Parts: sequence; C-alpha cells; structure tokens
Amino acid sequence: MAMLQCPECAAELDIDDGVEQGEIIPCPECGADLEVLGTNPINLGLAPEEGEDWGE
Amino acid sequence: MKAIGVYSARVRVEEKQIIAAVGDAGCLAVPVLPASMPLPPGPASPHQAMLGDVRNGSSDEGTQVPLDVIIDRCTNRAVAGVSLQLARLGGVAVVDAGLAATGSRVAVASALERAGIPRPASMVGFSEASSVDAAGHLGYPVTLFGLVPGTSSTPLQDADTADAVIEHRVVLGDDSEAIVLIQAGAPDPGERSLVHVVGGAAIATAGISVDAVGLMLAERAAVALGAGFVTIELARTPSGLVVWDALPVVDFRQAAPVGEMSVAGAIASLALKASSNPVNGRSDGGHAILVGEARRDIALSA
Repeated sequence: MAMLQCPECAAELDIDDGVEQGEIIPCPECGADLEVLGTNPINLGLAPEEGEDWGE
Repeated sequence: MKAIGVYSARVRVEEKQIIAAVGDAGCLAVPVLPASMPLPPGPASPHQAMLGDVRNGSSDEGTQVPLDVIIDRCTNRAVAGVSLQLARLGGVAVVDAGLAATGSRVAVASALERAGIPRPASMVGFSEASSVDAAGHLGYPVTLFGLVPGTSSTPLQDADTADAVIEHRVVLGDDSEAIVLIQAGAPDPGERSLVHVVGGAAIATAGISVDAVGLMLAERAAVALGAGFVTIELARTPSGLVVWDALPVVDFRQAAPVGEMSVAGAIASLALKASSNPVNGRSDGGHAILVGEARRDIALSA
C-alpha cells in the first residue's frame, strides 16, 4: 500500500500498489474522482470532468 | 452558538480551512451539500431547517441546524444561483462574490466599467455573426468568455480560429451559450495574477507579483461588484494593468498572503460579522453581503 494525499481535500489515502495508470479512484473523504497519473511512483490527480467544451 | 453553512459539493482544502477558522472563532461550521434536496420557491416556513452534515454518515445525520449565514463555495453556479436566491428569500444571509456570484460576466463587466476600473476593450456578441464581427473589431488576439462567471475562457488568436470556435458554440449550445463576452487580448498566465479580496481588502495573491497599486485595483473591483469575497484576476497588458476577470469560487491553497490574515480566516471573520449584523440588501462598501433581516430557518439540504 502507498500513502498518498488527495489533491482535492488533502486527506491521507491508502492506495493499493496494484493500481493501474488511468484508473479512477474516488476519494472516500471528499468524493472527488482521482486519476492515477503514474504508477512508479504512484501519482494522483483530479480526474477531468466531462463537459461540453464547444470544440475549444 | 452561531451556525455557518459552507455551501460546497466537496469539502476541499479550502472548505476545511474555512470550517476550521469558523470553529476557531467559537462558531459551528456546517458543510452543506448543494442540490440534494428540493426547496420551496418562496420564503421557507420557520419549521424548515438546514440539515446537518450527512456527508460522512456520522451520528449527526439528519440533525437539523438552522443556519445564520451561508458561505457560497459552490462550483456549480447554476445550482448556486437558484438555491442561494431561495436561501436569501428565507432570510438567511449569504456571503458571496456579489455580482460575480449572482450576475453574468456582462453584468460584471458593466459594473466595473461604471466604476471606472480599467478593463480590456470588450464587446458582447449575440450570434455567430455578431461575435465574429466583435472579435474582428477588437483585433486579434481576443479572448472569448461565456456568460457564467468562473467558467473557462478561450483565447482566439486569429479569424479562422474565431470562426470555428464561435460556430461550434452557437450550433451546439443553447441560446444563452450563443451570447459571449469578447475581450481584446489574450494574456498568457505569466502575465496574470489572482488577487483574493475579502471584505474589501486584498488578502492573498497568486501568479505574477502584484504591487500596492494592483492590490488597490483589485479591492476597487471587489467593491464595485458588492463582493463579500471574490477573486479578481489582473492582467498586464500593453495599456497597463487591467481587471481581466472576476471569479466567484477559486482555490486559494497556493496563494501567498498579503498580510497576516489567511483567506479562510478572513472569510470566516466576514461570515461571523454577517451573522451578528444582518441588514437588508447588499453593502456598497465591499464588505459583507448581508441579505435578510434576521435568522430564519430554511429548507436546504446537507
């Protein structure tokens, strides 16, 4: 397990070492969807929200 | 004990800091989830009350907590615009970004213009043709803004890009999305700064360094918008420093404090002031946005 911080609410998260890049993990504290941006080391970022960008 | 609602779908670092600051002042801070409960369209009856924090399924679930003040930290501006209007009707004071919270970007631009605050040359487009005309009139590059404050903007470097982006927006969006504010210039992030203004005073900044003149400019803009707290984006342009945008809900965790007060502490202080001194209407001094005569219970959900 890796100990990381939620980039949205700074909660301490136990992340399984077996996570895959691109996997979406919800933060149990704030509910934000977190994306695994890298696995070596494990790196989390806010998952992009879907929304209309009007082709911009 | 005074109860302050922090109105946000998520309790992020900023909301945690505000809740802690309210708690440090000896008041109860209650996270309030937007949009999870229907509301009556008129003033709420006195027996209705805000629900307590049910987010974590704690023993507080279902506890009703009448709120004295709501701090608007809602990123969903459509929900905030309607629900907080209903909260006001119910007599709950709302501390927010003033016109940047309740008005359109055009209303914000107009208020700043009226106050004589330097802004980039701007035009409002109402259709594909008029928006493209506006961009051409201003001269490229320009930046396109949607009507809702806080939504992203799009730099348009040339006429071809403007044609494509505006056509796409008009064809795929609804009528309101066809209306855009277009500002001259497209300053990159290295030419912009965010100034967090609370109670009429610049509290913290992020981005390029801002001198005293810039801080005063941001403070004037906040006052012009009737904002309790607001983030004013400044941009360095060939004609000098201008107010580029006004944002209702912004992360401030990385902001550098101007003085000793933190942004969260300042917001909490403002909310406490609002809870003890509610008045009708907005202040025009850039201080608390205090609407409603007295504390009254209202049905909103946590």
